[in-house]
Amino acid sequence: MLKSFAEKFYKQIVDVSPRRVIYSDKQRDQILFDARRVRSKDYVLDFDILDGQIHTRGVTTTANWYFILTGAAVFFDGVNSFDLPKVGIKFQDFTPSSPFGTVPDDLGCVNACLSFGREGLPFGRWEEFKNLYFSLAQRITVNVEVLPNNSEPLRGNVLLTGLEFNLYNETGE
Amino acid sequence: MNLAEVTKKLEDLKQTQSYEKTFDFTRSFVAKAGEANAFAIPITNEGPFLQESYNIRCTSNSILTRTYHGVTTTKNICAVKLKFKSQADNAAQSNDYVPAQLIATPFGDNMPRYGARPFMHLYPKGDVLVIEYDNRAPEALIKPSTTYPTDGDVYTMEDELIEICFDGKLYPLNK
Repeated sequence: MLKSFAEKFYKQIVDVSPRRVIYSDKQRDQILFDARRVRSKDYVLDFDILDGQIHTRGVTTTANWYFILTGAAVFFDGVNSFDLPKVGIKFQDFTPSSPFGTVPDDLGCVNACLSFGREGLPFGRWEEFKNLYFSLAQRITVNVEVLPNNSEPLRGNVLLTGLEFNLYNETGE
Repeated sequence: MNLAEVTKKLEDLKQTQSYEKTFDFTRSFVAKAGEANAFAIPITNEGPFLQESYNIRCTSNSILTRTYHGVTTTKNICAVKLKFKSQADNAAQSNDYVPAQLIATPFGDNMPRYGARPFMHLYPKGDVLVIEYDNRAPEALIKPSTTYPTDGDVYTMEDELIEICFDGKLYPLNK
């Protein structure tokens, strides 16, 4: 069953767009072969924009688990404003040296943010974007930068969804 | 091969081979206004359940009344936050409570449909899913100021109905 389980994730690992090859097929195969446990995991970050400043929120992924970002969603709870902020995501790797070779320690900020404000959506924007970049590293820090809109205080949440792999059958929050 | 042989073959396969079947289960509950609570849902005793996705919808009965720069607007919201946890490994499936509005399918005119949200988790046989919810009023984001003393957020919290459909594969084990 584990093999079947892992294979379900395989496409998500190799089929990324835009393609950003971090691991070779052989390395990815090895990761899946070695994986003892695979699961999805959500990381949610809350933010309030009150003063027109850029707000940065960070979250650290689970220790001892390898994390791949597969999707994200953003929700803003502005009532009056139509001018929405932009969101960027930045990864920082805790372990530049992994069993599978060198992992980039900084994948940079996602420059193409989100296409907010769909026509017909007055308030409470909800957006989703998938397969931005992915990082496979034991415990990474994900930083989300929210740029201000300066027209109304905003409250929002960013949801980062990913797959976590554990090679040693360890548990953990 | 006659019918009896086919039946026996199928029975042998069932006893000796692992197989899978699609499996949905739905749960709904009322998140009481102003409360935070948790409850446990036994999944199934048939065998391990591989959750592949889930779909949530929720009511938006609560009301945010916001006065900003003297202009008052109201908006229906669902302030419920959810956290899922597998009792078997005691590992939360998120780092914190996830706002239901962020993961639920919005229902309204011209709203985008989220649909089933891919989320993989393997529950061993007999596992229990623990759902925690929080339906307390968020802290006011906008507060009165010297220039606009009437400004402020007022949350009127109401009960919210949360409906969740879990979708995945079930791997029945031999008896």
